[in-house]
This record gives sequence, structure tokens and C-alpha cells, in this order.
Amino acid sequence: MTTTHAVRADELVKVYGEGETTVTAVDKVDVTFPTGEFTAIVGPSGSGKSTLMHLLAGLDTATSGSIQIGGVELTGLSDRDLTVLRRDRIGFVFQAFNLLPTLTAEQNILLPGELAGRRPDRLRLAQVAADLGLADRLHHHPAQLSGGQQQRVACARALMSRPEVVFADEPTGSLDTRTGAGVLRLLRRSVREWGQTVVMVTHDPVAAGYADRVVVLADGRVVDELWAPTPDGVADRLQRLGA
Amino acid sequence: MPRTGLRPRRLVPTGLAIVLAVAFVAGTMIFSDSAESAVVDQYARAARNVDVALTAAPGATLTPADLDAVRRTDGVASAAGRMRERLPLLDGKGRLVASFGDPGYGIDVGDEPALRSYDLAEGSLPAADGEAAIDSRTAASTGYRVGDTATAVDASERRHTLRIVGIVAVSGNVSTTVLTRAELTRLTGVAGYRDVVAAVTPGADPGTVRDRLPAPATASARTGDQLRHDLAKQAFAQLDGLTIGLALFAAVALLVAGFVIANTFSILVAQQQRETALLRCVGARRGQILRSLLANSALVGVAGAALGTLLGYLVAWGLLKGSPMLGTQLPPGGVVLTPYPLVVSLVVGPLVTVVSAVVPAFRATRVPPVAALRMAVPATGRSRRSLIVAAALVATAGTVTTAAGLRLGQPEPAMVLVVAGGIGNFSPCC
Repeated sequence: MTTTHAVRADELVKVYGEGETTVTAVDKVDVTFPTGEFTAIVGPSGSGKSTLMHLLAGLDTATSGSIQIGGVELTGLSDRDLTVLRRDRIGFVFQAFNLLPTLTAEQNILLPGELAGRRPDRLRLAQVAADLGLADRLHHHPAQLSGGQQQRVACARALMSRPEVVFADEPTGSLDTRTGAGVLRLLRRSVREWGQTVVMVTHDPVAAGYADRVVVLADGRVVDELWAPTPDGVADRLQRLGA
Repeated sequence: MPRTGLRPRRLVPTGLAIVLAVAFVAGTMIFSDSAESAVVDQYARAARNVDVALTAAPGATLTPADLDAVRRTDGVASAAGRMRERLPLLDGKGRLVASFGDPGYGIDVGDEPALRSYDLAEGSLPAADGEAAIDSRTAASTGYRVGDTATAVDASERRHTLRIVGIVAVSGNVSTTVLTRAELTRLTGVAGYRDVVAAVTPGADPGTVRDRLPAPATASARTGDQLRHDLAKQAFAQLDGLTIGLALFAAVALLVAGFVIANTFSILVAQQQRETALLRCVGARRGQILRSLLANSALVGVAGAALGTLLGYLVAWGLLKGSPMLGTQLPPGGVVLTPYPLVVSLVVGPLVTVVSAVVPAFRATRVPPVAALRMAVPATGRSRRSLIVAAALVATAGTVTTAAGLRLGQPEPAMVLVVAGGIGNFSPCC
């Protein structure tokens, strides 16, 4: 079955705590992420954007509601099936600590495939590494790479298996503006040129400006959506939320 | 599971614990083997060439007539009577030569060279009254040399001067003086034999010949193999206390090593929490995490066991060389290596490591994937210098306690001290 939605969430709720001290981090969220789109989820801190991403990516379990990735329902999957789904259908780029320090860049990129017991696709590796400018860095360890290079290795790992969706959690949060821009251009290129689906969580209006669409979150709810956003437009929208 | 990369330095405490534990297991086992072999070798001398033997009951003796009867038995090729009577010997300063408070014995030269219970090491055997050969251990402790004169005390407490004409190697730790039969009878007032030993004719079965021996009511008949077995058993009884103590020590070492491994592995797992969570994020199943950690522990276990076995060989060597300091006289002999200690060490080492790592490894699989996204980095531990000093103190105390325990005469408190010492020695790793 093919869907036009890479990721889809219905009535998604996440409640932390019990009794009187409950906190509703995600409150009945309905949201879809079409295939081949670059979406940014923005919102002030505490808006629940990170929690939403953890739920969508199968890193955390929802209190209620439904999530589908590539047509597969996530809620109710066993830990094992969820792990395999993350491995085979989802790519991850985190803010920091993306890579295992004891492995080389190449070993890090091939890690999900190796966990799956697949023979490494050398051709794909060479292609991704060349596109991301990592061809001469593959045998370096993370400690020998700059912050920008480490994020590009993380992107390469995420894109390697042509996943259903790549989740990026503040991917430029630890980078300077110029290096960050390089990583964002890279994510956008993966959408434009390879038809990749990317969902990025960020608090930075400039980063959000690289996306096709911005989903604005406040107090665990989707409060707005912006298409073809500009940094100024996003900043303006966030400012009004804070006020 | 892929190589997620070992960090060798993080595995050092775990490895060290297993090296030490295996060293003690291997060391004590190799030592026991070596000590047994040395003791058997030595006692074999007493029963060398002996196919059948008559032994008098305590207090009784065998007569020359008994010896003749044995000689005439069908299947006996040659026979010899052996005298062995208490004969205290005095050193150059007139002090009693004793081993563990036990004064020495006098034995006769014997009629059949092949059936002697001793070997001539130096000089010659006594051939006339007033001549004697003493055993090499007594020679070493008294400083007597061939040509010196020594004093023996006879049954009526009278002193007799003996000229030392030779040094012999004998079984056991008891001071032994070799005299002519006539001289020994004169000094001890006993004419009979304690044993009559015999060799059988080629082709004869010792068991059959033993059954034919004309044993008087006050004597028992044994084959040479039985004799050797009984002698060895007697010898091991001396060793038992030491080997049991050492085995306890090894067991304590293994137990403590198990705790140390569980501890260090828990720390390792905590240090690698983010790595584990990241692995879970990108698709490592819980089983893969568990297998990877257990494989790591097995690797450390095998490496530690290999090193530990090597170290254990040195420990065994040290125990053999140092056994007099531990209050046990062992016959001289090299380290004897049988496959048994090697197999046990190389199996027990990795096994203990893997079993001890199971709980921490299982805990690691419970790390939620989201933990990789948290920025918090676990803080590093307490001040290390004071820990090292404390560990050194406890280890020293443990060693002292162990040594004290091994030197102690009474077995029970000694055992307690040895075990306490063992725990003291190993707990610094925790």
C-alpha cells in the first residue's frame, strides 16, 4: 500500500505523571507529513515539540491516539517491532551525540544496516558520502571530525537506507550559523533531489525558513501552519505566541 | 551484533578482577598438583622395586625367620628386612634434631641394594660399628658433613658417638640415620624388622604372591602398589590443611571477583548509557545490546583467564619456593603442569565473568532510546587518590592476615584468617 502521507498522527495524546501532577505534553494532535516534504515543527520551549517528535519516531509511547509511518500503525507495536521499524524506515539526526565515538564515520553510517544484518551497499555509501562531501572522512573517528562534519555523517546515516522519513531534532543546535546552514541545505536537497521526507524540530526561525511548511505548536496543540515560510514570518508567529 | 567498539581502558578493572581470581584458582591447583607429585615421587622411593611387603603391627616386629619364609615363598625373587627404630640424634651443640617435635629414626643399611628405601647421595654407607650416614635434610640443618662426628642417644639415654661416612636421600621430613644392623640393634635394643619387602620374579603377579606370603598374626601383607598408595595417602594428609586453605582462598577470590565484575560492569553500562540509547534509537534490539555486552564480557573473561593462568603458574611456583615460610616442608620438585588446572581456569574465568555481567547487561537493555537525546552527561566518580590509598591498605592487611593464617598451627582459626585475608585482598577492587 502506498500513501501520500509518510507520517500521520490522529488524536495523539501524551500525558506525563499521575493523579494531580499530570502534565499533558501533547494534547489531541492531528498532523500529517506528506511524502517528499520538508516540515519544521516549531514552538516555544515547553510547547511539546520534542515530545511530539519522540512519539512520531517511535522513541516514546503515546498515551492515546494513533501514529502511522508509511501506513504502519505504531501504537501497539512491541518494543522489538518498533525497534526494527526505526532501524529500517526512519532516519535520525540529533542535536548532538549522534555518533558512536568508537566507530569510524563509515561504520557509523553503516550501523543501522549492520544491526539489520544487511550486506553494506557500497555503491550507495559512495554516492551519499560524495554528495555530502564526506568521501575523504569515512575512516575518521567522530573525535577527529568537526561539528559540521559530524552532523553530515549523521545525515548520511539517516539517508543511507532511503527511509520513509528522517526526523531531525534541533540538527543545527550545536553548530555555528554557517555550518548550520550547510546542514539545512543538505536536508532540503535530500527532499528536493531524492524525494526524501524530512521532519525537523527547531526553535530557530532561520532553520525553520529552510522548510516547505512550518507546524507551530503551543501548549501541546497545533496552533498554526505556515507554507513557504520565511525566517521573519516564523519569528513573528513565535513572538505573538510568547506575548 | 556489530562491533560497537570496545573501550579497553574501561574494561581494565573487570579484567584485573578476573586475572587475580583465575591466578589464584590456577595457582592453587597447579601448586596442589606439584606438591602431590613431589610427595608421591618422594614416597615412591620408599616403595621402589617393592612388589610385595609384610608390615608389622605397631609395637610388633618381624623376625629373621619371617624374612626367610618370605624368601622361600613361590614367586619371590629377593627380599629384605627393614629396621626402623626411634634414634634421637644431637646436633653439634648437643641439641636434639627434631622435625615438628618428632625426634629422628635409625634405619639399617639393608641387605638388598635394590630394595633400599634411600639413595646414597655422598660418601659411603656405614660398614662398621660407629659409622653412620645421615639424611640430606638433617645434614643441611645441622651442618654435619662427611667425616664429622655426631651424637646419638640410645634407648637407655646414653650418648654414643657416630662417625658420619655418608649422606643419603630419604622419604619424608623425619631425621634419619643409617647404621649397620648390628649397631642399630645395639643402640635401640631391638633386633626385629618393621617391614619385610620383596621383589617378585619376572612374570609373577604381585597380588597372587602377596596372598601366598606367610604373614604372622601381628603383620599385614600388601602389594607394592598398595604400599605406595598408603604411603601417598599418609603424605597427602600432611598437605590437606594447606591445599584446603588455598582452595578456600581461591573460592573467595572467585566470589569477590564475581562481585567486582558485576560492579565494574554496572559502571561500564552507566558510562555507556548514551551509546546504548543511541544504538537503540538507530535500531539495535534489546537482545542485540545484551549479546554485545555479554560478548564483551566473554572476551574480557577469556583474556583475563589466559593472563590469570599464566600468573597462576607463577603463584604456584612462588608457593612451592615459599612453602617453608608457610610452615610446610615440601620435598624439592618443580612445578607440575597437568591439563586439569588449565581447563578449569580457562572455563571458570570466562564463565564467572559472563555470569556476573548478566545482570548489569540486562539492565543496559532497559535504557530507553530517548536517553540518547538528553544532554546530561554522568558525572565522574569520587576522589581517586584516597580510594587507591585505602585499597592498598586493605590489600596489605589482607596479605598479612593471610600469611598469619597460614603460619598458625591450629587449623580452624587459621582457616578463618585465610578467608578474611582473601576478602581483604580482593575487596579493594570493588
